Amino acid sequence: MNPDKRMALNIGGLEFESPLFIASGVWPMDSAEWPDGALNGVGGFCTKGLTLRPKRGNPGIRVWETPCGVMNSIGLQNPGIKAFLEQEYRQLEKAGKPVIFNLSFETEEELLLLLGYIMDTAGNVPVELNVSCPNVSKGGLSWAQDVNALERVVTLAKRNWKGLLWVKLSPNVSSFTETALAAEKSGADAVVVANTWLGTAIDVSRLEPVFDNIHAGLSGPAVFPLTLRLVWETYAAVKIPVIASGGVCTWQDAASMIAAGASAVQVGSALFSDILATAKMYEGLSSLLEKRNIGSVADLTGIAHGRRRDTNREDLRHG
Amino acid sequence: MQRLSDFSATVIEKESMAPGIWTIKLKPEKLRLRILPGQFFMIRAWSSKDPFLFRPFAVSGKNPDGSVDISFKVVGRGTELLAECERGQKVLMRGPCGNGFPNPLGKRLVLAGGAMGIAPLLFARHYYENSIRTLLLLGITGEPEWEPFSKAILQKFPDTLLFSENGMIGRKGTIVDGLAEILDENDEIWACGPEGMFHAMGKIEERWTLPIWVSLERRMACGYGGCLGCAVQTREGPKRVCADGPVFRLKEILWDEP
Repeated sequence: MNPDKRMALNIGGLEFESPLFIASGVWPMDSAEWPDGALNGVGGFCTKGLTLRPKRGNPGIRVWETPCGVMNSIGLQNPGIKAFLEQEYRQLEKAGKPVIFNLSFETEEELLLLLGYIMDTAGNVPVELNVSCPNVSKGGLSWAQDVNALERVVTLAKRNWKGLLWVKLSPNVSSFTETALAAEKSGADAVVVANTWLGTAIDVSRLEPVFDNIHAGLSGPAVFPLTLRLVWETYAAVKIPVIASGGVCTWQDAASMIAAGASAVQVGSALFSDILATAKMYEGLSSLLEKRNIGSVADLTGIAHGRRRDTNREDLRHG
Repeated sequence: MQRLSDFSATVIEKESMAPGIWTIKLKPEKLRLRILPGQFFMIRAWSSKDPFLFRPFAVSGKNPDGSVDISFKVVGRGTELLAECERGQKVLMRGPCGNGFPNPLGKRLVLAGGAMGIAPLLFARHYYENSIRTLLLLGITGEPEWEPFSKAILQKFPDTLLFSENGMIGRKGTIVDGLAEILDENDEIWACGPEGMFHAMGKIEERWTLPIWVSLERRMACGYGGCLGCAVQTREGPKRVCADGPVFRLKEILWDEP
């Protein structure tokens, strides 16, 4: 893979060599397990969802394939922030790629403690607040479902964090744009659009729910057009960078997200079906910039807004 | 251990073992595989994004030409598409995945396979043929397809001890009953099969001190240790069947805990 300077970008004052990031929850935290070449073209990667205390994760079936997608109910299994910082993070640091800490918390106090531990060991690294994880069944709505709670928690994080602050939003809300605006107003440096889409699966051989929690998060190509719409609308509504996350599998998907308004793109489930998916996307995007003579990937962001389909075109049929 | 990668392979042979049960030979391109019994591959016999996920398959044999044997029963869309592959067709593989069985320390290696679970043990049997005494056991339930399957296994390994729950072939009874009869205190057991079989084997481990290693099966999304979709709870906390396993000491597994 040839590094391409046009693919480098700046998000909230921090430089990344590529707009392609590995999404939270799909990548092993032990570098000895990383397949060869799989981090080529990757600008950085998000940790698995980290919590204050260790979590064993959900019982029962955790993954279930759907047409062009996969549902998951992992339940934030992780060793807890302290063990993560002491063991896994020491390895990840050596990878030479920016690590974005993906954080989940049930109270404001938990968030403050998480940020404190990270600051003490890792310093002002980028963090991504998970205000959307639909898998934690412990009482009540998610942070994103209550705009006031969302504003409160993002404001709190901003006041207590000098590093980059991304807020990973939930698509499972009544007004997505409202939550994106709330995150922006409260000081988020970027919004990640979006987490998995809540769905349900029934095991017809038993006529019972597949998942112990009944609902689970859908990802993969099945959600791509849904997330693309959210990216389009969020770009039109906010001024901070939008990071797309939802079903991106090919360079064409990544280019679509960027043209619709994304500054960067997260790759998740795509790696399940092709371990070199990100590396291939990098090559594809890089040649697109070359072919179209576009100076930098940032110039591609939102390019489709204001452009309308030419109705005189001859290629209006499916190939 | 060889690092995992995605690569393409060609179907060079396909053999029907019984209705709905197949063995295919897959020859990887541009790659020399180093694999241990108990390791597995994720395979997809289609290039589209639907079905979306690879399917995990144990290796049931490795051949001098570098090809591997995969023995499987058709149980859904993915296995159906794999069974439809003809000689010369290309498939995608990911692997080698998982830890494999550790070097045997017992004087005799007892390989206990429940139905299709015998697949990785066939490779183990072949792998240790010249270095340690092995004994192969196959246990089946009463469904009709297992009778021709058992005959196919017997044809390749005539000294296999066969148990069927209803007595339709071999001795009547479960494989765990059979184990209790033949075990010696210097044996080491490797087992693969349905979870109920492992539960019953727990009692053997209580009574004898011999080591029992089991190879587990789970739904998997990634196969490389990233998604945590295939977790099993153990005395040392949650483990990933795909990357920490699929082989575990039976006594380490906490079946009843979430």
